[in-house]
Amino acid sequence: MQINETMDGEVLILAVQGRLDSNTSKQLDEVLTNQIQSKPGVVLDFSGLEYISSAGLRVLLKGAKQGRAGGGKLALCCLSSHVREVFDISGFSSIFSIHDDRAGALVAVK
Amino acid sequence: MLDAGEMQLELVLRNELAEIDRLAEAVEAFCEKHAVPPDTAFHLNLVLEELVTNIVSYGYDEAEGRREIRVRLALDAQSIVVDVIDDARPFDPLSVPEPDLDASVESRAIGGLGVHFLRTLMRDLCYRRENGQNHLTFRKPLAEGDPAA
Repeated sequence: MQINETMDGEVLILAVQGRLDSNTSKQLDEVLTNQIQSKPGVVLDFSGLEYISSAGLRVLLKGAKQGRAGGGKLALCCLSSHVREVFDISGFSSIFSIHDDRAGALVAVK
Repeated sequence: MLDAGEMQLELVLRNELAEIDRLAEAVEAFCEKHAVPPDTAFHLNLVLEELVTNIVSYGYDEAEGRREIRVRLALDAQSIVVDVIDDARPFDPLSVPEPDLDASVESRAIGGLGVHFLRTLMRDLCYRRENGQNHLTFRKPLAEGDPAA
């Protein structure tokens, strides 16, 4: 898994590529936990994300909880149909701010 | 006529999370070789990762050292039958209660999601404890129109 960090104004964009599974989720956990507390908004761009399991969902949920508890806003974009299906089955589609493109996600966290 | 041996995959995994990569690669290669639809391969990988992660993370005491988890896939015209066999402590995944999928962010928990994927995406789930081993068997239909395919 690879995570590319870029800034759009004060918003941090994390572009995640590859597999977000029980073997790799710790990488995203470290970045997201640090950044969600210090940035007003974080966008996770999943256009390069091929796969996600509950270990990945766990990291996202932790980030969202930290965001609600005084950190930044979190939004997701560009989910593949496979990744989207995992969100739908787990009921996560309704608890995250999910957008078709990066522009929509940026608006949501600003 | 196809060689029966080519329609099966048997993997022996060590009880460490790094094995998830090898598992995913082997399942994908098997599915590609036999023209199994990508959606089916994705579902198989997801469920197998969840099961193996549970076994590796919770199945053994730390002092138990290196152990083996067996994953078998058998493909026929209608479905893929999967067996997962381990010698971890007795654990019936089918006894895990369904998670609350409607909970808010604040009260939402992750526990039970892996088994929820298993129940949602697979069919004919069967667990038994035999000779000191957990045996979990399930089936993934290939036919279109089957809600679990």
